Amino acid sequence: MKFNILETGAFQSALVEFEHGEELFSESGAMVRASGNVEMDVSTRSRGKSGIMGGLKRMISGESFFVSTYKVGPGEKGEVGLAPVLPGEMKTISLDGSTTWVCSGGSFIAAGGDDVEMETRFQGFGNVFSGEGLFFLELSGVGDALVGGFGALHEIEVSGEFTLDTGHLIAYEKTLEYKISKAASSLTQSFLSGEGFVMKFEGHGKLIVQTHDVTGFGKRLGPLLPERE
Amino acid sequence: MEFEILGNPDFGEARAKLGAGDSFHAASGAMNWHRGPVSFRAKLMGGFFRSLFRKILGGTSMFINEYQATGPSEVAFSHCVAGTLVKIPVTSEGLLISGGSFTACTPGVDMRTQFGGFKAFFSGKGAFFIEASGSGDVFFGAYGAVVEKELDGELIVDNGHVLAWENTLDWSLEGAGGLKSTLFSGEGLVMRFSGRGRIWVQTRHLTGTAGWITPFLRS
Repeated sequence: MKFNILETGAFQSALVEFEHGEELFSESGAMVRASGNVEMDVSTRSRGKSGIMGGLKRMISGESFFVSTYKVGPGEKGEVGLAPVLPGEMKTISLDGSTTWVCSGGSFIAAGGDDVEMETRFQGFGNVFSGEGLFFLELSGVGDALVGGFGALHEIEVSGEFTLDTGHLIAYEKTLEYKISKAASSLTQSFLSGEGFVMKFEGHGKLIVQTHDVTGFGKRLGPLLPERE
Repeated sequence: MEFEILGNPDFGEARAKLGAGDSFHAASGAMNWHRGPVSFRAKLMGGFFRSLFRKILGGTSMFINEYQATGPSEVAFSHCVAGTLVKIPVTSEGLLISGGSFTACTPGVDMRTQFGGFKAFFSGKGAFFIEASGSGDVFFGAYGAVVEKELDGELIVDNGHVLAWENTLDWSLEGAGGLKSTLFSGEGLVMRFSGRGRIWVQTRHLTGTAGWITPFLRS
């Protein structure tokens, strides 16, 4: 399976090439195009175990209830083009069997390969205050995953401590741990500064962040829209 | 203290590399991440009453955040709207920046709030500007890309597209279609510039996006 990211800048998309025996799955609605021989299906869980709980948990995490799956028949090769909803960059994450990646709600687009596992994991009630989802997606196994965001995506090598504003997380290696904490020295200062809560990461590993925040953009755009009736 | 801007024209982000004793100011909510020994506090920008007026008229925060490093550290920040982030040295004449696009500045820069006047108040657009003077760098963020123009003469720019201009220019806010259309439609407000100096214009404006998306919203 090969994940190619096409174009540069705000309107990137990805083209995935795969063959028989490999299974690709994506966030439902992410598919732009597919070669004629691709069999598409939807399931509530990526592989094997299906169940309503998987779908429900994923939905709470900010993803869709269903996952789309793509396969081709014996001896065949297929192509699927994928794109995120928002204007922004995409990145591939290589899963080598040794590390687990955690994706924040909404950033997961697709994954596939020999044996990719996807789990939804509860993040603790601290996330309620932070504006981050209650559940994040965990990806492990062997293969590739595709994430997308609002803005440019940057991969940062963290060694020690790193403070990330909420709303900017795309994914992180599970060798890192985070705590939700107030942005400034006091609660009043955190509120007045407009930064509110932050995620304080610790450990050694990779982190993927986005340069912009949908909430910030929404707060600017919202007042210009007519009121809901 | 060094600044690097990445991601222009679509998603500009600045990274400040700070040493012990370095400081700078950034708009409320602009910070994306930081690492190393750096802390910040929220300060009123330009006095209580001016801050309050700015909050009421322009809907922007009364506060600005001062970042202070006590050792080697980094702070990444961006404007809340997706587009190009511009860094400009402040000249002796000063610079005017439209209220919502100011993103950050270095310590030698003095900031004052200027109000756009009666027409701007009623149109809800261009209610205030930030006047930057002194010495240092200012950062402002665009929606879309930025066109920089060296003006010698006269230029009319739609109010929603004006990002910043040098204070050597004379300017006035006026209704493109007369006072009536300014007051009642909230559209048609333009800025007329004359003289010599630079102007920065953004290629998109949020009111346009809002107007386009509105018919698609459920009531």
